[in-house]
Amino acid sequence: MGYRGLINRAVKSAFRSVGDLAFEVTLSKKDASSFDFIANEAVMTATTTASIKVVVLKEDEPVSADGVTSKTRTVITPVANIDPLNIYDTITFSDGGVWTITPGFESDGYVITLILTKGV
Amino acid sequence: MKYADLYKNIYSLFGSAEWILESVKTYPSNFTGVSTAASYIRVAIVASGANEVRPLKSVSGQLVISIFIPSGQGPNAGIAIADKLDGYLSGKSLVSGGSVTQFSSSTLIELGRDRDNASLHVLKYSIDFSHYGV
Repeated sequence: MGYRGLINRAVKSAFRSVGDLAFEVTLSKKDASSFDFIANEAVMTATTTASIKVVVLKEDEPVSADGVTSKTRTVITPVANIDPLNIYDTITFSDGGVWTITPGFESDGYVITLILTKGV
Repeated sequence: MKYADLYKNIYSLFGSAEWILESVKTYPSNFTGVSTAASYIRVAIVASGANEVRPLKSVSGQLVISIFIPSGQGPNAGIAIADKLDGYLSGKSLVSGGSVTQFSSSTLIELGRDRDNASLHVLKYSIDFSHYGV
């Protein structure tokens, strides 16, 4: 086995070994293949779902200048679980909260850091 | 539905069979997709000067089209797209569903490297319009 596979296995093992520090969430993936100018809507692919583990690093409730409160949650997860991601993908936690994945993903090729947002 | 009619009217061009045959990948604002084409355009409508003198509703404004082409190959690919756009827009009218959009003459400005993707060079094509609907 090459080094890449070795590291991916070690990352998966690490996420298993942290126990309930890792949340089991549902990743819903879809993509926009094109835009239909007549219907005035994006042409979306079918949604696929997968169960993945994430570790929450940080939670915030930023208030915008006009007083609107939102929630952000910074999480990490193995890249092998989810790559590639796009702006249409969402993550659902066990409490039913659906979070949007903000663009600008940071990855070292093995673990990806995601910033999730949702309205309060 | 003044603004909805305006968008429908202008978008009808980019959804038309004639424009699709031009093979210029076209996206609206607030659309995120992975473009597989070497060149593409992004369409934005800047509406201003809305008037409502019943029964006529009018909106003037500018159609702003960002043209993305590969960096380092000169402006020709962008100029060719701008000329295609001019063929459909400059001095022309779009009519649909009881509303009409009249375009005047266009301008083309080179903006240089794309701030988010240095492998792309950007030109801005813009053209004023007046839109009338009932």
